[in-house]
Amino acid sequence: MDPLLRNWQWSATLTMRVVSFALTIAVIGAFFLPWIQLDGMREASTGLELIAITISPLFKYLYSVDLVQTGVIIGCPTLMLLLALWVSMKYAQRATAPFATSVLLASTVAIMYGAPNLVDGGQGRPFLGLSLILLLSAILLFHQSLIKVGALLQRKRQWQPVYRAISVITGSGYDRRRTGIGLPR
Amino acid sequence: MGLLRQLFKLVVVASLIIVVAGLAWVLYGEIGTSAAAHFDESIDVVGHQTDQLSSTLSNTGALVQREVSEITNISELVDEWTPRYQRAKLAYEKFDLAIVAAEEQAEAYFASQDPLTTQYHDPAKRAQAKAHDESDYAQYRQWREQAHQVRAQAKAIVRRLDDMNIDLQKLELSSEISFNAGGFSEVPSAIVQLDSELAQFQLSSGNIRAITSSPFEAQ
Repeated sequence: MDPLLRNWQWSATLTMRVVSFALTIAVIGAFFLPWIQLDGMREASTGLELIAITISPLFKYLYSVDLVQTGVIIGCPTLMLLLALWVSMKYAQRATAPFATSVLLASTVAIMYGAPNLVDGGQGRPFLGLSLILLLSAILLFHQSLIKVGALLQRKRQWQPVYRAISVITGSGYDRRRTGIGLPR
Repeated sequence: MGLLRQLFKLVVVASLIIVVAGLAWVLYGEIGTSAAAHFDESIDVVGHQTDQLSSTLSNTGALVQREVSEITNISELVDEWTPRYQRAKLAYEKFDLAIVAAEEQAEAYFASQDPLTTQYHDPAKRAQAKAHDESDYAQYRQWREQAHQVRAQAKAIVRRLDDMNIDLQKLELSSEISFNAGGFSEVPSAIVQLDSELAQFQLSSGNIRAITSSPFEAQ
């Protein structure tokens, strides 16, 4: 393989790996942004504020209205925070966590539509933080699906140009010793 | 790549520390919030729920006022009615719970004011503070009376809505039987009756806003 091309591939793979990791950190950062406006509150609550509602006097009122929906409003952000950290750690180790990302996405949708009695207007209008998480977790899920497809192709040793492209696009790279691709002849 | 992995791990650990610090800050803020702020917040929630209840009840009334004459099929009317009726019931329940929550916060607020007032050494200051507390409490009592009045009115309206809901269900049920017997003409006349009942109801829901707005704003 042309060394120039190999360098370009290496740089692109590295860049994509850094970008994908940065996306997982952005998910954590979104917990500091407004998520949803609870019914009767003056301002929208951030992800961290939703977790902290447990110790607020408002909590009693919320669970009196609907216990299950209060569980969604408080439980989902807590679970999402743990999952976001888990996904970041996995990306740092160059591994994937498709299950965690799927649950992250499902929890976001649950907060948007799972507590209509507690969210202002009942329509679950998401603010910047929650919209960002929805977008990022969808991108990460797609990213991990691509990595899985690339790994499958690599294992079967089929469509080499496709999985080489996938490995660059996803930033996952490929095992040169196993496939022989990119090694000097 | 090993260096990059180490760097990423450091970033994750830093993120974790920032998140824990942020959460601790929010929790600290929540714990440090005064009883007065919680009381104020709960009054806000009651105000918001009053508006919600008023608009929901008006909306339910408006449905029958506006659209009932155009609906000739009882099932169509029930389809239009049921979600609005359920929203009205929920709005009432939330309004009721918001008042209960506000009363609890008020108790906490006055319970924390009283010991502070008695701690003054200067009798004049203590008397002044006591007078101020009593004035606050009188204002709160006035607000509570108004809120209870509104709740009683809302309860009466919701009971009427409950009865109307049963009326509609019975009407729907009987229309299924009487349809073959040619008794479908009873439905429009029942709807007209419903219409007149809701005119009364709309008047009452308008009263809710009139009664509640001034004392709530005074807070």
